[in-house]
Amino acid sequence: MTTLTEELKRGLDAPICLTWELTYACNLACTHCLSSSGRRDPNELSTAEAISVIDQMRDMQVFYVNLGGGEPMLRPDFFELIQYATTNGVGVKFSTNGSRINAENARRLAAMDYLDIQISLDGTDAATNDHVRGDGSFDDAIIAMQHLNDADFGEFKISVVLTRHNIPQLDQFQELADRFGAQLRLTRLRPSGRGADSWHELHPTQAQQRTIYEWLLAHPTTLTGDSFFHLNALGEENLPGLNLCGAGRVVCLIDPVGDVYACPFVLHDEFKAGNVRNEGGFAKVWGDSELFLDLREPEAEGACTACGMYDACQGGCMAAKFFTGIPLSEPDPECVAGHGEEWLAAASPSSLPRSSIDHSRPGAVRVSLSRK
Amino acid sequence: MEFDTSMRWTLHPRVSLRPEPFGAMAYHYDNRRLNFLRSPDLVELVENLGDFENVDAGLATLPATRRPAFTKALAALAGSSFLTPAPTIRAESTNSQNRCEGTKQHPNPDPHSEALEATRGGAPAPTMRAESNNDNTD
Repeated sequence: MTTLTEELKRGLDAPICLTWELTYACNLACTHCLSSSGRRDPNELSTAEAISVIDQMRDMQVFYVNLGGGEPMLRPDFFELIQYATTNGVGVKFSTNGSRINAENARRLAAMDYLDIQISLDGTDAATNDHVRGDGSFDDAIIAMQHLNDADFGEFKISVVLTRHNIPQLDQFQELADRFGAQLRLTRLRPSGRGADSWHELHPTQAQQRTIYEWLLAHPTTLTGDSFFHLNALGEENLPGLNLCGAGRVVCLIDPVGDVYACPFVLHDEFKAGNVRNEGGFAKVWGDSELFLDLREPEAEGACTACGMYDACQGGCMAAKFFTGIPLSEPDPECVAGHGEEWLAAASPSSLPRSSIDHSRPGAVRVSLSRK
Repeated sequence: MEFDTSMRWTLHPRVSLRPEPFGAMAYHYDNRRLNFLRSPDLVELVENLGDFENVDAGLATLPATRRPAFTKALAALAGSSFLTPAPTIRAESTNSQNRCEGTKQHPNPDPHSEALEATRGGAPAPTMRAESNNDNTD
């Protein structure tokens, strides 16, 4: 019997779930923003178009969608869209910085079913968090959590992008989550969007990668978006979750203007499969796009497929390789065996692929910050 | 609840099945878990399970060699609440069926049933958290 992983690599008739960035507008300017958000794009999907996308998801039995941005709550039709989705069998989980969750909005959210909220937080103190997410963002996130508690929302998620600076706070993150009755979600930092500029300063050290692996094994209920499978090569035991890159196979991304990309970490023309506005809509992109069909083929031979650890790490993350200038058949820049390091060193900074999709506000940070 | 094949079980009303090349993907709207039914015959059995007097009667429609694997798959589905006990056919209804589902359907995955064993043990009906691969939207 083939393994489930093998079957999933060949792609599903519809995504397990998909990520849909509702808007490029954001009141923050996080240094690792995957979508380089800031300003709204004038070409973003209208309410009617967004409703039609939800109809397509319902018809394809996409059971739930991850809404993000930008800051999705900045869309004036945000509540209308999540209401429509959740009453049409498309469950919603949305990512927010929390700044728009006041007492009233928390009550509205608590009254809805099939809704999940994840509040982004990248440090257990303001200094660590605001270094990445901007001044005042820590306080806003904590206030939002308090509003959700006060409104009896129930269990929400605290979503953390692990960085060199916050990995020492893993236990404190868990304490914070416990204090709010929340579930902790930890994900991997990618060199995508503005993260291309901050990645070198923020990504974990090799020693920290082992810390993450061991911590996750010791805390198996922690959510991860299955984003740390490259760490499976560190030991005998696999981390819980799917051990594969799901891009174009079981997941994908719809951006605010309706463009469909292989995953949330590859907003780049090379990984654009089509647009939901075109004839046939999302279903045709998912089912027929050349890019997605290609991603469902067996991986190209390279150093990774020839390596004894390949079954454990699956060669790591396509986006991490791409934006650090490493060929996709070669090691992940954070390969736990260290095979990525020579490739990283060999990549010329001037020849790195840069996304043309950038909605950063003027003056938003595109330089690496030194730590306060 | 223990999975007793001499009892009648049925697909939980909050579960949706989506056809896939390998069988079907099942999603539970209450506990937000996913299951993969990795055989078209298993899909058919699961869809019609409630029509049988009990699980054993449903399994009896299969060749004997396949029954152990299917029993294991059904038990896994029952363990993650994808199958639910159903009233005995012809008997009066019993209180035990009126399970309190709660009024609010926030996902609340049972940490003890957490596993995507498929990638390791090849279980016929693995279950996983409906928090899928690479869905970071930060």
